[in-house]
Amino acid sequence: MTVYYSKEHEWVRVEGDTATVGITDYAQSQLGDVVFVELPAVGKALVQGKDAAVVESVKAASEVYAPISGSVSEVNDALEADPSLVNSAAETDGWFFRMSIGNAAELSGLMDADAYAAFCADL
Amino acid sequence: MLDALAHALAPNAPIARGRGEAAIAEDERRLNALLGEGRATERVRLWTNSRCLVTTRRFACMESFAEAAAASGARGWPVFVRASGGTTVVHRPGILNFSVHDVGPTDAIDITSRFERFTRRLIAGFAAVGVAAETGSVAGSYCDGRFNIVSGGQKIAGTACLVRKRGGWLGVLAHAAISIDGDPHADLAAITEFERALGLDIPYVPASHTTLAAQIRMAR
Repeated sequence: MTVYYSKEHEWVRVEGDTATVGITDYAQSQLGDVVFVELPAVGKALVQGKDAAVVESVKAASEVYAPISGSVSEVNDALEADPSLVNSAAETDGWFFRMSIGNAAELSGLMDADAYAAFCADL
Repeated sequence: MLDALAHALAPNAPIARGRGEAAIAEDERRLNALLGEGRATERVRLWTNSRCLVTTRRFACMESFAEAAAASGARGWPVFVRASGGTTVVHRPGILNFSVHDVGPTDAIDITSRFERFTRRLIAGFAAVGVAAETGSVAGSYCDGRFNIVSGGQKIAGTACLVRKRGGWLGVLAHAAISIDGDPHADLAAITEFERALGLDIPYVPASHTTLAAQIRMAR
């Protein structure tokens, strides 16, 4: 299992040929209390860098972008009943969706945990 | 009064008189256009809208939305959906909308500082027309939040924010709906009826809202 991070503050956990995607702890802390997450439909084809989901907090609405290309295979239904999972467990139980990996080469453009920590430290 | 506050917020900016959904979508269209330009910029937009309720995607995804929106429309309050967060609000000619589109090269999501800058500008605008205001939550108000603009303990303007990123550029739309005049009780009644039809029962308090006209009268 390898975890990658995007400059748009999404994380991608790769297990085999499946990637699980969510927003980082930094992103949730900036957004504030999350009240709603609009998830993509299962089967939807995602393109790297394009819209994948929407998250609404008490402060703002923000789009979540696909960190890699692929097809949505599963969404986290628990977020519908309890969107605050994004705040309390952004990088574990607060995952957004799972997807196939359409182009593994796109992962090489993402950061590992150390690089992402350094990236956030510079913001 | 509307003109005076508009001038204080954005001297020389015209006030557009919009109609319904198109006026709401214009904010999002402008944000996307500015992000597409790929340069640091800030633009303001002053506008009013025809009478309607404006709600969020969260409510629009509810099962009873279509029916609740149709019933509200039949009462003279058509319902439209905006891209920014919060809950249902009112638009009408007596409410001045102030939108700031801010695009800059950053990977940070600094929403709080953007909100703070935006609300400072609003508070300065109110001060220029003789009304003291501050930010804060007001219990019982619709679309409540800590970045409300409050005068005399009552909410006089609500704020909302939309954040978009495009390749190292952050675009933030900060929006305020400012009650200039009219009847906040009627606004609350329209919101309450719509939200009840959605299955929500949010206990709003009419006295939690005020208008610029009321605050100016009290200041005299």
